[in-house]
Amino acid sequence: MKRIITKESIMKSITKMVADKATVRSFLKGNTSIETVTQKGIKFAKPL
Amino acid sequence: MPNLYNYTFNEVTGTYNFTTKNDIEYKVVFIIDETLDSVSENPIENVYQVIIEKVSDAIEPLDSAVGRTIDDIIKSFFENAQNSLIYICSENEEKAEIRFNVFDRWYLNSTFNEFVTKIDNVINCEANGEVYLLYTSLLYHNDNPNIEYVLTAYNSIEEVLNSK
Repeated sequence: MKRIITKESIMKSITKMVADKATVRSFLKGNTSIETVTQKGIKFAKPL
Repeated sequence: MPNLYNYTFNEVTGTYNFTTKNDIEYKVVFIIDETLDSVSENPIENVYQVIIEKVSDAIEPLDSAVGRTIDDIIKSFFENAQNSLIYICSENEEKAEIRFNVFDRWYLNSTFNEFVTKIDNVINCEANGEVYLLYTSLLYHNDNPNIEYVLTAYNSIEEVLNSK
């Protein structure tokens, strides 16, 4: 199915990316729980 | 590579961790990024953000081994040629431009810049009546077999954002 790509969908994606980064930084500092990270749909990877 | 800190992967937190000789702890995490996937008509995988955080509050004395350790982690990341790193920083974030320039210097001084390419794009866009300045970079392996899709998606971010 061909995806519909709109300015709004990209802004949403970029906004989420920036917000995710802040959440992860807070998690790494011990100020946010792993549950919060998971609830926000942030997926950690093990690419090494 | 001499003078590196050993790093380990913590399966519980999903982070790569190391501690310096000054007892300062660093954590490095890769998160799956779907920004390029969201602007592509073809599924795009293996795109990540990397987040590096000095966890300890203590002020860090100059320690070049920290940079070399992070360099080594990123170099290992690109052992899989299909991996790409995307960096997007909005001007709303604290020190966005400074971070962007630090990221650039770090790449230029890295040991992997011979086989990893970095491209930058600073995007001015307007959404919901507000003007945004986005600092973006993409790092990809020169042998990435999917680079055509990845670059098309990356370049289309600005194109779509500035469309009417």
